[in-house]
Amino acid sequence: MRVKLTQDVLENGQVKTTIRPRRKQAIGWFEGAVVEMSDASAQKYIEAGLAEPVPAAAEEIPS
Amino acid sequence: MASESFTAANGTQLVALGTWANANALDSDFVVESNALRTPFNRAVSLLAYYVGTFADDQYAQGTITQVGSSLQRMGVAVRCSAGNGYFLCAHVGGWTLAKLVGFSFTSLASGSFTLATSDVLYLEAAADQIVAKRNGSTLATVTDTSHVSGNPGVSGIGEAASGTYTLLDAWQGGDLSIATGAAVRAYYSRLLAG
Repeated sequence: MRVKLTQDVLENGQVKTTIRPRRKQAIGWFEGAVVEMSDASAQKYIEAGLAEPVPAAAEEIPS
Repeated sequence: MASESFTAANGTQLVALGTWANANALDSDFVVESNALRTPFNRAVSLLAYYVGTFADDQYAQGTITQVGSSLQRMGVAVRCSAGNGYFLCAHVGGWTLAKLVGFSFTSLASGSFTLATSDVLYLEAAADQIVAKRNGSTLATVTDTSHVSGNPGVSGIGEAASGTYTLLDAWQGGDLSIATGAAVRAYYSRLLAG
């Protein structure tokens, strides 16, 4: 599920960062970033007020 | 000094302009819109790209906001960029963030709230260990950081562009600082002279 972060997500005092290994790209969990996660995780972030659901993509961009 | 006006057909990838490389972005992540730059649909995370060339370690980048989106999508500028690294300033309609990417790991250095407006000029400079962020000539933040000592000036973006309401960046410039142009350079040498 894709969600848009409504505030910076911190982890150990830093901005939470995840890596897309295949693409060699870091994802900073900054306010406004759109991230993909499991439905269960998304629900937790939404309930915590950290994210909001994002509608299905209007445009697909090839990897 | 390098400059970029992003003059190309809508949807043209930034890297296709020939003088840009990705620091933390895919080729499709920055695209031209209305002869300015935006983040993409669908997969916009935290993006950095830099102008290819040789630049002094003390450098600046600036760009002009030509449209303010209604969402949290941000655009901005960056300095001392290389693959997986860089300092960046980016802003959306209600706020700004100064952050760094070090070995593909992000750290926020400063942030704040403001109302972003069309024609706002975002500016970032790095001189020695001083990183200075400005909007329209007024300082937003000055931080001391030694994570990056060299690299290239560039652009930054966070978040997904919402159709029709993108935040757009144009009139990008990047170059070497001089004592005449760099506030951080002047501050640095003032500190040295003061002993």
